[in-house]
Amino acid sequence: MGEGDGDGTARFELTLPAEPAFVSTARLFASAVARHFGCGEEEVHDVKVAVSEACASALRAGADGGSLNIWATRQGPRLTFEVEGAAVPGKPPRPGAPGEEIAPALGLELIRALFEDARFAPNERGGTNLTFSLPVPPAPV
Amino acid sequence: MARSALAEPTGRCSIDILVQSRVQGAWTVVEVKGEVDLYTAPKLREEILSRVESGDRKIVVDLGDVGFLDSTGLGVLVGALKRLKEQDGTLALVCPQGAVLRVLQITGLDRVFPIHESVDQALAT
Repeated sequence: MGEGDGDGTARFELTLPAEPAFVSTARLFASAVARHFGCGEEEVHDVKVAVSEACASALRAGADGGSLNIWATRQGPRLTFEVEGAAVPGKPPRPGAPGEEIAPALGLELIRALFEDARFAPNERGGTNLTFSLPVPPAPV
Repeated sequence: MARSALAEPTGRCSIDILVQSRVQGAWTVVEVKGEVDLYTAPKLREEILSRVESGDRKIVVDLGDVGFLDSTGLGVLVGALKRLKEQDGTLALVCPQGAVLRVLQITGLDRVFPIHESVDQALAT
């Protein structure tokens, strides 16, 4: 798990405790990887938002006690992020204060507005993963 | 309900967020520093709630020093706006140009909250 397959592909993986306190760590990882591959600050922020939203969604869906898994894969001109267990939209949210139930829908709206190719797909554990990608500058020869 | 006097600023702090309130004229300024997400948003909610329960009806949330805010933070702000409107109160935001303002714009919430570039501008309304 790391750089240098010789063909320009690099893959990083982060596993964190599935607890709200670690969502910021997920953002830190994602932003560091995005910067490492040459993304500008606005794109780095977009990545942070999408990863943060996906982790929050996974936690709301009940990942508590398990783990948050995030992958970052650079292949050719694209950097792809995948977050395990990000819930399918439409799942009933945990109760918060009145008015706050809007948050999951806003989170989904943000992900989709920031990344055209964002999609939720089933994983082998009966959950759904969020995947999205962005262009990155070419790898040095 | 009479407003209780804030003799000293109140606040809540954890590693990733600092939320402090102070009274300025007719307004309560709730200043937030750090990142607002699933973990830290409850601190913001608690502080705003505590100010509303103390009788504050004109609240400005100063997001000027907030480096990151996601849907959980937006949810807290929307919930607070709803609560204040029910009490004939006002919730305004201070949010200079940048990433957080962009998030408010993408979600359309920039049309739901009065948003100002600075605390001074907010207090002048």
